Amino acid sequence: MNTNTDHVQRLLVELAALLRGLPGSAAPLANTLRVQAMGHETFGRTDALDLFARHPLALSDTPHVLAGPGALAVIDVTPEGRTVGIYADVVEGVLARVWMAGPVAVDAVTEAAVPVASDDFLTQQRTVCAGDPQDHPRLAALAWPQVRASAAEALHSVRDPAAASSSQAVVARAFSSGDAFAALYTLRLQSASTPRHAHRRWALAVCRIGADGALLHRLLAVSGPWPVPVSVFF
Amino acid sequence: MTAPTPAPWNQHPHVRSPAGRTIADLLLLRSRQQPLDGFDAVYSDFVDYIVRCTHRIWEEKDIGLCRTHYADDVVMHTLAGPSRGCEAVVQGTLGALAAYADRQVVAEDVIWSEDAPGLFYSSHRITSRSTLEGSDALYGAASGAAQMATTVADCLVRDNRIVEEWLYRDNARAALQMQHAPRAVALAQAEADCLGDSTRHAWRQQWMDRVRGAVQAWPEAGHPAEGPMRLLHAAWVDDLYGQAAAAVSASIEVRWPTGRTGWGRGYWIGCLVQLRAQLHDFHFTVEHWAARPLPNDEVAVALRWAACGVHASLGAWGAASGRHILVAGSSHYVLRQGRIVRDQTVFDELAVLRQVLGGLGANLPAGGGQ
Repeated sequence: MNTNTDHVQRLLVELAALLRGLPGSAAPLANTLRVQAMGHETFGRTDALDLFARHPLALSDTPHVLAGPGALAVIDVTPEGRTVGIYADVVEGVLARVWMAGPVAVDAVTEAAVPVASDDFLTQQRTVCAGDPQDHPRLAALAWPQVRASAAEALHSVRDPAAASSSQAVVARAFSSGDAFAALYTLRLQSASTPRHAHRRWALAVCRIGADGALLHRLLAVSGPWPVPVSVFF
Repeated sequence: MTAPTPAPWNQHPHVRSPAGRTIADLLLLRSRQQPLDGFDAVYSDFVDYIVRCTHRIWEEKDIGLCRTHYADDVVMHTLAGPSRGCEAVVQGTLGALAAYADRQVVAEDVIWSEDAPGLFYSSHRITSRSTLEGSDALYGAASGAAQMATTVADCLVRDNRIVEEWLYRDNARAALQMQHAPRAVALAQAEADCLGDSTRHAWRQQWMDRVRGAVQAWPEAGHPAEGPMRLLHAAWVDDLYGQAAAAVSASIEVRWPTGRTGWGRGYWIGCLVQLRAQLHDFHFTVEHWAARPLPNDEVAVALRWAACGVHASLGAWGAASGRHILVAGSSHYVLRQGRIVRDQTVFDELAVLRQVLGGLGANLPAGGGQ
């Protein structure tokens, strides 16, 4: 895909340096860099570098890359054979936010939180994909059906016994570049058991579609289950 | 006499948000980029003033700069009560840095307006990392515990000086990060509040009276803050949560105090309903709004708001206390194509618990502190 421009190559080099957690990296990272990767969320560039210094990820020589205005999506395979997806918000050439859909680290922890009762569907006519193409102006309209289809595939790929009717993917980011698109999802999977525990995962799809919108090729990375926050009861 | 006309919300578009910028870019000294009469020459624009003076005071440790950056009679409002005077700001900063010397004050955004010629207003969202290596009045001696709490500091500024400030911090989250139970911390504070002269809590009753009597003012047509304000009113005044949520993005990212983090309209409704369900006879008003352009064709909106009601239902704050509760906070929204794609709301839930437990004058008849 469009990896030939200097701009994209430079971003890829900077992303690779970040993912290796190189101390003193000259990569221009946003001061407010927020990273959600390996079951951890960090804020600020120093904490991001610390995270990847503990859990470095070396990109292969041939990652699958899709770049668009303000975004970069990468799908790669680790030496262990695990598919990993990385999505970055880019502001004026600076990495501003990064998600990784991949393995969850053994030291993963999610901060304690006040539990919030929420209805993800707001109707009995439930859909597995929450999103609206209006919110993703850099996504070609033709791609939207495949964005939804990829959400369903991401949910289907999770082998946990989730309650299909109560699990949902939210389209967090999506953009097109030529005949390809990338879509980042946050998945909330609710178990079919009682009590009905829920957990979250991240997924990244990078796809090519034909002129008629038909799917030509799909790469999909889905994270492991993120730790569930400890509930705060006052 | 008519009120001064505020400057257009998107004036000086070259004055950039700190969002997505490197620290080197933020700290680069530049020549003056916008008219700032009466401001120190070191500041290139109003965002630079906010970010750089915070950096100089907190990170470079020139705390005495508070004396040239705050008015002598400044009032700093928090949900735990106001403090008055520049020297109180100096002393508070010294105390915080004596306990948490390594505090990094990361500016997430500065959403500002020029409300009258030369009168600036900033809504500065900060997430700060700090380590307890000294002694803290709340959390004890050096423990190495680290905080990473979000604060919104709204400042009214004229001639290089902050003349009034509203400071909202996610203090319950900070308590948890310091390995303390928020309820226990709030209870100790509430017990101390019940001692001594109760008139020191009168500010809270006065604020609630203002909220109950408020007639909502609205931005001029076309101002980006109008949409979010109408949504909040639809939700918290009319209880039409579904109608409100239908106008936000289906992919909305929600970050509320004490770790509440989620995606989607249902979660956004959940946060609003959770607060509202506990407070009967609910009143709500937006006290200030501002908006600024963001990179990638997005727009940032800041709403400073206050709400009050009677804590008459079981909920996140525990069993109903029957007490009058004031909640004041700030919501920062990111708008894309005119719809909210991100809601980051900050209020001090520790101070809310403190009221629930009878502190800050909430134990007094009708919630007063007269």
